[in-house]
Amino acid sequence: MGLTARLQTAHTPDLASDRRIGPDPALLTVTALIIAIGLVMVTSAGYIIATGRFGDGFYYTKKQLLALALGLSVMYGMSIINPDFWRRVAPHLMILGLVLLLLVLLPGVGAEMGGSRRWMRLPFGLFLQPSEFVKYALVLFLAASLAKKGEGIKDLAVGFLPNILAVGAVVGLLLSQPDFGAAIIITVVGFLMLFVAGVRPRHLFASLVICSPLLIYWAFRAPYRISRLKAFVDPWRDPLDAGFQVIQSLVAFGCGGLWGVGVGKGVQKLYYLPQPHTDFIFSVLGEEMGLVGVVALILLFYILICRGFVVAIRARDSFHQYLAFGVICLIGLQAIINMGVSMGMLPTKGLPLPFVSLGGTSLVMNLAGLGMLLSIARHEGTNSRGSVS
Amino acid sequence: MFRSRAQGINWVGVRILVVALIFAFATGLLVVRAYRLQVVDAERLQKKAAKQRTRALQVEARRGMILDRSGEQMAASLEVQSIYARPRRVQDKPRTAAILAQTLEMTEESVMQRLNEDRPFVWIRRSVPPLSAERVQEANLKGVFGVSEYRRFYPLKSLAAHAIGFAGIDSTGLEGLELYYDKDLKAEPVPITSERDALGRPILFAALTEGPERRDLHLTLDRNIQYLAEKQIEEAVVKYRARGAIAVVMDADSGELLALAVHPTYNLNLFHKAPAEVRRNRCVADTFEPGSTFKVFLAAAALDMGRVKPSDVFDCRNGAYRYRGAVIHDVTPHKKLSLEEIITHSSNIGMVQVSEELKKTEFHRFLTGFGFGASSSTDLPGERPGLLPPPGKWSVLTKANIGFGQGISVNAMQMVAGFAAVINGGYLYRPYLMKKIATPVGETIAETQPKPIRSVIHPSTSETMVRILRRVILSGTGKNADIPGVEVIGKTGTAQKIDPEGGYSKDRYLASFIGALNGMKPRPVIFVMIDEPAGKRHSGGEVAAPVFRKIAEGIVALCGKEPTEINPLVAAAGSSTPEDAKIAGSRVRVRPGSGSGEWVLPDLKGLTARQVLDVCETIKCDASFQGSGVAVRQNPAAGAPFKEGQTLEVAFEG
Repeated sequence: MGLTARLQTAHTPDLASDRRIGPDPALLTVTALIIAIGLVMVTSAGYIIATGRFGDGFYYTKKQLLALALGLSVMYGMSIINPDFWRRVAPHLMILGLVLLLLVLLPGVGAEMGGSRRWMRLPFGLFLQPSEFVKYALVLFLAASLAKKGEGIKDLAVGFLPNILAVGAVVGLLLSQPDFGAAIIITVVGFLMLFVAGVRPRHLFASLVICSPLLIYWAFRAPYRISRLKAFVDPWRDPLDAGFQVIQSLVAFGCGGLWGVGVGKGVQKLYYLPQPHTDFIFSVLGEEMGLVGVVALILLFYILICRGFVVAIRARDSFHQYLAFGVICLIGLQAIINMGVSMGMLPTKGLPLPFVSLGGTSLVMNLAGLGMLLSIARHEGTNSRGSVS
Repeated sequence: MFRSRAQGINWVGVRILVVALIFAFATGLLVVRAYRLQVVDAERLQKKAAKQRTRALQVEARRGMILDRSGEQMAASLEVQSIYARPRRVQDKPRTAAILAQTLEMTEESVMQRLNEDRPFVWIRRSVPPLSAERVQEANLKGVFGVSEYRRFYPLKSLAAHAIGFAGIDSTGLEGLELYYDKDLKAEPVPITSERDALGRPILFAALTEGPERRDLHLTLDRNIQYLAEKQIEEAVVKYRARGAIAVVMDADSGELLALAVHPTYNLNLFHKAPAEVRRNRCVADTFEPGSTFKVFLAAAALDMGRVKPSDVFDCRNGAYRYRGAVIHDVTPHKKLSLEEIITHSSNIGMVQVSEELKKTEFHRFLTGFGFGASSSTDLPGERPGLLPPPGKWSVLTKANIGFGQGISVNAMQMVAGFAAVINGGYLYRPYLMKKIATPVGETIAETQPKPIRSVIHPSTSETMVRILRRVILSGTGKNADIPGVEVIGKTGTAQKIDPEGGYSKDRYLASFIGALNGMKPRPVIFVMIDEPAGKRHSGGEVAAPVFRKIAEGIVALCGKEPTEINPLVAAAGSSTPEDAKIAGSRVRVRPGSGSGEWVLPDLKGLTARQVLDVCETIKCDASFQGSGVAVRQNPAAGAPFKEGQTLEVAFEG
């Protein structure tokens, strides 16, 4: 009790806390640094491609800045909304998310790009990626649902099945786009939330066993995923085709060496790397900023994740805890998987690096998540036990 | 920090910490992996990157130019377009053939024939005009491609054709200097490495290394002298209805070849149309019995050994001399002649007796010393050194025969180099055409330094020979080569050609003249040989000497444009010690007259307008010129006293 008490005292809002930048300065500073690095890398990695496609090298940078402006206002809004509001709207948002996922599959509404239906066409030439929205909708829904169940969570029918079915529905719809990366993230985050909420481990284990044949079927249904998997196992065997992406990414890291070749001077982004400005932006960073930059970004994400867990642990009630935990898992897991894929540790899947990769929806949603974290952090000291059921 | 609640331990916090540990572990794995990629495996991956990014580009180098001594282009490579096809990729062959035939001015059948060849690559047409190449590109035909090549172009067409030779369409030297210096002219295609992106385009900010450096061949040839020599031998060939002719001009004191003229000649741009007979460089590839011009070498040898003196008198037996079972004839019968006169009048009988003064081995030693019997090692391909039998195989008559130019075969290069050694103080130089090989920015890669191969005779002997050879012009067979005011020296030669049926032909001659303009700088040795002049006049003195003179006159005129070692300035009028005024490039002297501002007019005959103007400037006169060419008449006459400010009338012809 002693250690906890002292920590609590230190973080109890007082006069000093009013002078802090926002509710959690560490969280904000780390995120700001990551976003800054992201803007530099989007410019560097996308300049040549944007020049070729749009005749304006800064096209992507401008787009990202626009999304950032929107995202920051969303974040501010989220940070002042009481998290308890989300508890009430979570089921509605979940339904909205599912509807969007269904809509995107409809021809005419969803835009097909690169063989998958992930985007919805909006006015002004903008696109919305429902999967980015659904991730948060599901996290909100699970947090609210798990918090409501209380001790009933240990019961299979009451606590476990409804939640796992919600996860399954979302994953199923994501797989039909197909968006394998998002499906994996949702599955893992969902299981982690169930685990943290206290679902019996044997339930989790059993459902994994039951789901694995399905997952394996999906993993091997599309031939490109098989070749991606093969390429992951031995990228050098088929260096010109499936292994190409992985090899080029590894080459980029190798070229970077310890200190990197210098920002803007990388060569791998020049059509060797697939999606250098989105999925493989970390490889460009590896080449241009070297091991120093890579470790720095990994550490920044690690600090971000740790700060998020601290917020989750200190949160006022279980809904706040689950929500904070879900949000930080969503961001952290995407970051780790993206970096792992870039360095050839995981099979290739289309996942952006949060706050860094080009992608407006992803940036806005992640900033929204960050806003929720800030809001939870702000409310952590207020009447913590009162709301525990 | 496990916050306890009423029930005990906060299990949610514990479970979050478990997940946090998993994340920490994953983060650690990421860092370890990054370290492996960027430090441990970095070198291997960088090698791979370098391999895929740099591609060796074979950039065809531009073949070096060939320039004359003043830098005028004699051969240059131009970029041209060539059209080729990959027949297997051509889709609509008849249509492709029709379009190509129309654009490239070919017949449809010939294009079709090429397109039907079962090869991966066929040339449709090489060196097409840029406009046609553009049209072919625009037609966008499947399987038809264009490529840039270099094509050799000879702007001066036939000038110095035999010296320059030519390069084929693949920029490979096939004859002449183009062949001899092929390796130097053909800059090796240097692989250029540049970074490329995955689409194979050069990366914007990667500096391209510079292309291979072109190497130009700078010649000793002077295109003006070359033109002069070619024009004169051509005129002679027409005038005497000869089979051919050659003229070689070489600097006696270095071996630099100033002109190398061969007739018949051909346009280098159309070399494939010229028969081999015409393309043969007769200056190096043809050997011949030299005839009387060769008497020079026996005389020089005998004088150098001290066996004879110029004034020693020999009995020339009135035109017929029975010698060792043979009868030697002279064209003009003579009685007693000094050695000097024997050369002057070209007496065979006299030379036979001079040859008696030398042993076979001694004479042979001198002949090899002068460079006969071995290649002159000039920088032209295909030289045939001729035949100088070893003394052991000489018959009783060989020594005497060689003395007047029979029983030995030589080429023009050997004659010129040997003659230069006789008159330049005894030094044999290698005749050469390459002055230097240099890059366009002036970096010299190779340069020929004139270096005497050996000293053959003593300088004093050389001086004696110059004096004797001067007499040939003044009072002997070489009168037709005389140029007033110029110290012309030389020797005529009339050789009967060997009859294919045996013995010497009675009506086929080689008329030749070898001489030099002594005292000029550079001091040119000029060798002229007319092959089979038809008609009565066939002797070297009648046929070759005038050609020599015209070439020599031209050289005097050309070189007169530049200041020479002779100071062209005159002492000012009224100077206390009046000196002779010398005119640049010529031997004309203007002598001051008896009074102040008075001069004695020189003989202006043979001077160019420019030289006459120099004279006028010296004597401060008004000049009135008529015609062009060289001066033929003047008023007042030569030798007349002339006052400054008077008018001088000069008529030119040529």
